[in-house]
Amino acid sequence: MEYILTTDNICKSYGKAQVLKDVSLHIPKGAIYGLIGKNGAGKTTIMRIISGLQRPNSGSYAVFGVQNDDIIINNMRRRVGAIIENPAIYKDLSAYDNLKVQCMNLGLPSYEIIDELLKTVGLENTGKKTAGKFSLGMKQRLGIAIALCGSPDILILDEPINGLDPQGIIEIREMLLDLNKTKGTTILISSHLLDELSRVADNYGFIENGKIIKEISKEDLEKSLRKSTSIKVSDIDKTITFLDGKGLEYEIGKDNDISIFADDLIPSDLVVDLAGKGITVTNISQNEETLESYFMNLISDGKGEGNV
Amino acid sequence: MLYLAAAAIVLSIAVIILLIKCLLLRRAFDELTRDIKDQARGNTTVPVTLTTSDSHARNAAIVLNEEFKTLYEEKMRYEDGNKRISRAVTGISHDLRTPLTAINSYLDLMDEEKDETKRQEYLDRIKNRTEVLTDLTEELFRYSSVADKEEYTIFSGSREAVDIRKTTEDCLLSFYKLLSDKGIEPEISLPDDPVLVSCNKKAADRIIENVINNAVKYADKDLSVDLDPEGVIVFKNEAPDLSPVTVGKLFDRYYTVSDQKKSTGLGLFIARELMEQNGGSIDAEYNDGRLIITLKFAAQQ
Repeated sequence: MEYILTTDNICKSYGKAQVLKDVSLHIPKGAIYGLIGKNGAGKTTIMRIISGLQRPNSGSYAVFGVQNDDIIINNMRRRVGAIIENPAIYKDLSAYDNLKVQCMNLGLPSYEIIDELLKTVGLENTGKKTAGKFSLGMKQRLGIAIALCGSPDILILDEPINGLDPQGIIEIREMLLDLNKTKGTTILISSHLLDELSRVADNYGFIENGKIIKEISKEDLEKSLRKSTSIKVSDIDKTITFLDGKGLEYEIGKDNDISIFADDLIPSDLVVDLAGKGITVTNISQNEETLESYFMNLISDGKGEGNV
Repeated sequence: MLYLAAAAIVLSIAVIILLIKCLLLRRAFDELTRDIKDQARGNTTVPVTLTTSDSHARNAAIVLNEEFKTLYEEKMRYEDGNKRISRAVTGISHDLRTPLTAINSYLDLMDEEKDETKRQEYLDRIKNRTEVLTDLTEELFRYSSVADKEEYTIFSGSREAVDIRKTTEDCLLSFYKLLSDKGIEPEISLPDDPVLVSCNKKAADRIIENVINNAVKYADKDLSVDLDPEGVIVFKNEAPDLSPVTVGKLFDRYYTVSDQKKSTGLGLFIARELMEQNGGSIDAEYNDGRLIITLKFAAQQ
């Protein structure tokens, strides 16, 4: 596997508070890497360090295989585009002029790319309207366009869909997938909307209290998600006694649906067994655990080990 | 003496200015070649950037950037094409396996079956499955002949006066069985008089067929076809699987909404190409869970 961006045991403290502890990330080329963690877990800090806005206290990182203490790292940084926290835009300038300023800053020889970028992010019809009057979603999209000015190979996005409406979320999602597919841009993205993240990311890093607790690819994740079988039955009490007797793990959801967590449960056997007890099964379906509950399990496991 | 001193000062200033220019240009050269290896190999999309405003250096950078961009796009297309082919092969082998498995199991059954009427029934089923197989291979052939060429050259004949009302009518008739099988009662509104438009006859047949074919594939409940005397046809159908974003991609080559429905994703792409060649336009919009496809044919002069 070819990694485009790696970090090696990065530590960072603000005063006495240690926010990152031995963080090692491995981001494959062409991946959409989802960084998952609660608020304050250290997502933004690691992104700031990778973008060169902060220095780590110890540890190192490499962009395109170039270490952060190498003199040509600044050269490699030109291949990284980032929006950390709020997009940096000039409120008194139009979308076009904002992009022009960025192109000048980068030293691009021509500004042809601007129209193309405005189209990519869907801001081509904003004309002379100043960015200060943009809606939150439009600002966010302008921010992404600015980050894309230098045609980066790596795009770092910190919570890009925060505060967007459902339509805006879909647009950003489709845009990122398109960028990844047509240009091969590697994307590092953080969000706490896990369901949304699971629709774009193909690699995940779980961060909790400044520690990476798991790095996993989408295929491996799908394999390790627990399968659950949901049933609707005529008699809940009898069913529960039966399930307890079998030692199966279950949960009772809304409308008295019973979710049974077992990978090797055979539905026909279950139905026959329950019918034998005089219980009618009116509905049966198989589901996969959501990313959210996987994450919650992961965190509670980590804590469990810490306490013992 | 004074003149000489003044000349010397002017000369040295000129030399200094030229030296600075020289240094700036040297730096520009370094900047031009800074990432050139990675750019030429397609490892990075980062363009050449300059710190000098010298127009010749900028020009060189612009030319380089254009060429690198083309190169990178070619590389991506090549890689994407490879992926697409392997996906298509996987899809085809899945599609072929279903009828083959059925044929095999009926053949096994026939070995043991003595009853003639049963055997006849199995034979009919096998025949049915081989027809499916024939259709599939036909589709596969079409796909490969299209995928082969860099640009799909679509039949383009000269334009003539075509009665689009009759074309639509004929086409709807040929889809009548498919529609009634799905339980769809199409709402059709056509003008009383023939509607003459300027289009190639074969192209018009193909366009209408492709659009209706698409609607039949994805419509679940209803389909309405509305032709006005100006040569504008509006197709509407319920399409719960779509979203405004996916509708925008409907005319892209190989774009298919759902993989289960056997389709190469070429139908609407071809319809658009033909429509544009014949001076017309085709648009899709999505409103309230309904897909609306509008065909505007060029008017007959």
